[in-house]
Amino acid sequence: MELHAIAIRAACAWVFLLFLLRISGKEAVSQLSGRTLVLALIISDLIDDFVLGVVPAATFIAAAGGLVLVRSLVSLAAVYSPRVYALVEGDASPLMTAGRLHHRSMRRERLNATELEELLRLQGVDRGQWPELLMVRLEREGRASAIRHKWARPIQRGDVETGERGGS
Amino acid sequence: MTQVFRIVAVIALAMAIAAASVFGLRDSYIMTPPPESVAESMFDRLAAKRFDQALDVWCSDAAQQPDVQTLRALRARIVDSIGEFALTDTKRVKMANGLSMVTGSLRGERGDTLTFYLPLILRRGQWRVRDVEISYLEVPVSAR
Repeated sequence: MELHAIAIRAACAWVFLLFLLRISGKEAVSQLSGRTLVLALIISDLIDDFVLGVVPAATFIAAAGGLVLVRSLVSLAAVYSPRVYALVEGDASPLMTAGRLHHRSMRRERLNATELEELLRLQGVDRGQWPELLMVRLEREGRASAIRHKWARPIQRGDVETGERGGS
Repeated sequence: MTQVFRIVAVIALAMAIAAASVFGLRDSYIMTPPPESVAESMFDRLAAKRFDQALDVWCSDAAQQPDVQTLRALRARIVDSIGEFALTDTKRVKMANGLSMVTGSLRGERGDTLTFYLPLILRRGQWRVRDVEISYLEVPVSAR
């Protein structure tokens, strides 16, 4: 098989996918949400069939274009309906409330205490600071978010001016 | 909603470019699978006993349009000669005026190889195997 034909097909696929992703919204490229990950997995499997000349260009365009179109329609539906959003992306899971671990949620997310410790360290919270945490959640894209008790938050200029400080 | 229309427009534009390349510029190996790729698909499907799918790459208006039984018999002939087989390589011998000839080898489980020649014809922008009788098998001496 001619190498130049492979190069031309690869370039065509790249231009086509680049255009499709550019117009399908920033969300498609800025974060790896569930629907974007599925899209990336399927398209990465489709592209080699076209580049190696196994399927015609029309088949690749229909398959990849159809997928991007469906993803955009689902994203559009998710913007208007929180129910659709929860269906395609799932919910954030509470992992800790007021220093108490939610073992059931952690089991559901296949997360042990060591991994949670690691996720929180990435947020700048080591194990000794866990009592300062009001809530820890595993967000939809797989990162942990931590909210501190009011008394544990770093002091702000506004706190001094309004005198709102202390207590949880 | 504008975004959805834009995606549809890009898909339509890409389809139009592919169609113009195949039907307008008579491209027969870039936007459409080259003949050797079609031959590979045919023998891969034959090896996997996917006869219905193997029929898809045959020319529908061929003089002797094969059916599943014909392909089953073709596979049986190959298996009788060299055992269960896999495609090893294909090469385009010639390609001109909407006709092409592909040659390649099938390696059998016993180590023997068969050489095949497959004539193809360009139909509606895609290469199709032309005639089951013209494609023949050269059985090596060791397999006779």
